Amino acid sequence: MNNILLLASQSISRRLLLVKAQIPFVLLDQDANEAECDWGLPLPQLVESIAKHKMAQIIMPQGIEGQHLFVLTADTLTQDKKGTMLGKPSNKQHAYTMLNTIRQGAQVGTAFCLDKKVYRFDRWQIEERVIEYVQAECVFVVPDWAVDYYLENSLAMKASGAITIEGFGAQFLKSINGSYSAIMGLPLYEVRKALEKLNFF
Amino acid sequence: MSSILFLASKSPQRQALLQEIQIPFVLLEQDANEHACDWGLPFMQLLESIATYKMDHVILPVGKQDETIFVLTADTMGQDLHGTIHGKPRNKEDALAKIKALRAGGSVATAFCLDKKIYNNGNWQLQQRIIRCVETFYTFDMPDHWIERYLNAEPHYLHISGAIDVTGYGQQFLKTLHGSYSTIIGLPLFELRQSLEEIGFIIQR
Repeated sequence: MNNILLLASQSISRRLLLVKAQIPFVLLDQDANEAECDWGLPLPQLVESIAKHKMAQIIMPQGIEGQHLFVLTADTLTQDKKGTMLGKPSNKQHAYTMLNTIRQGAQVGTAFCLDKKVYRFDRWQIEERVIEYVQAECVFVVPDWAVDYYLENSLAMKASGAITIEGFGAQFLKSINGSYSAIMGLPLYEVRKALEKLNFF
Repeated sequence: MSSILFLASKSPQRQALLQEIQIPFVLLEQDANEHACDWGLPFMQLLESIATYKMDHVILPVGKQDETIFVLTADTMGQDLHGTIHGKPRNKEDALAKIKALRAGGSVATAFCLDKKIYNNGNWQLQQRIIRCVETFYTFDMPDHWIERYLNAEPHYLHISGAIDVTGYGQQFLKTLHGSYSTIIGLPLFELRQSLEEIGFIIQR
């Protein structure tokens, strides 16, 4: 296996998932402004559009004529039962509110955009693209007495919906219906299948 | 002062789960022979009976008068869609057969037995017991050409029920799950934390 995956994501949990799956990757920068996307879209379309927007904003390295590259972007958002979209909490109070509303259950959706690019005529061109949306419903209940400790001892402030299901937060995850890794930020089953489809391995 | 949990389990996965959620524990031995249980019982009842049987065979330390301890035992098993129970594989061939049999879907259940014991007149007496069993359904779909790579990447597969490890390399084959994730690994953490609270286990942070 000589191919390298370029991952354009700052998310630590996405990197950890790829490390676990032994998929080699190199980090890339992207400077997409998610606020430019249409936040009126339903969850699946919204995260797909953000993943694509991120792909479009990637700062690609210089290539060699005929060279192939695989590039991956992703986005994860949480939606509560009332349909409110929850991104990362902006402060502690915001996190309290989120944790309170998602006690009834939440939907977490991750979309990824995987490009196979080829360097031709001095620029990177898309040879093949896979976009996929994967979701999971989850019940995540942090009891009142544990909220402060949880926020201080997890990556909750950097997580969509303040939900972290690994580490200390694992004890608050009552149930899941769907993809576990989609909640963490990258649906590994579908990513591996997409990589296989594009002959990455 | 924080309570101490005595865990009577050799499973490194269970130990890792407790460490993950910061519950302090001390390991204890148990010498239960699971074959002595009634394997004709329905799945969940069988698991509960094994967890309880393990509790009856825990080798407890000598206590002090009125000392209180908390002891935890557990058992985990998987079954395929036909209801065939899959424990740990006997060898590589068996692991292969289990992975294939579970490809269409299966379930894993974990039962735990949590005791609060008090030392009185030279004996540990049972003060309170909670037994719970949680079942999770999942699809672990590994194509044939990945099996060899998976077994190489998970060298401890012979020690895992159904040869299925969803925590490491194997996570990329876990398509969906319905229920509790930590149950598959060996302890339903959400229900365990609830039970520890209910039984008066104190964690000071």
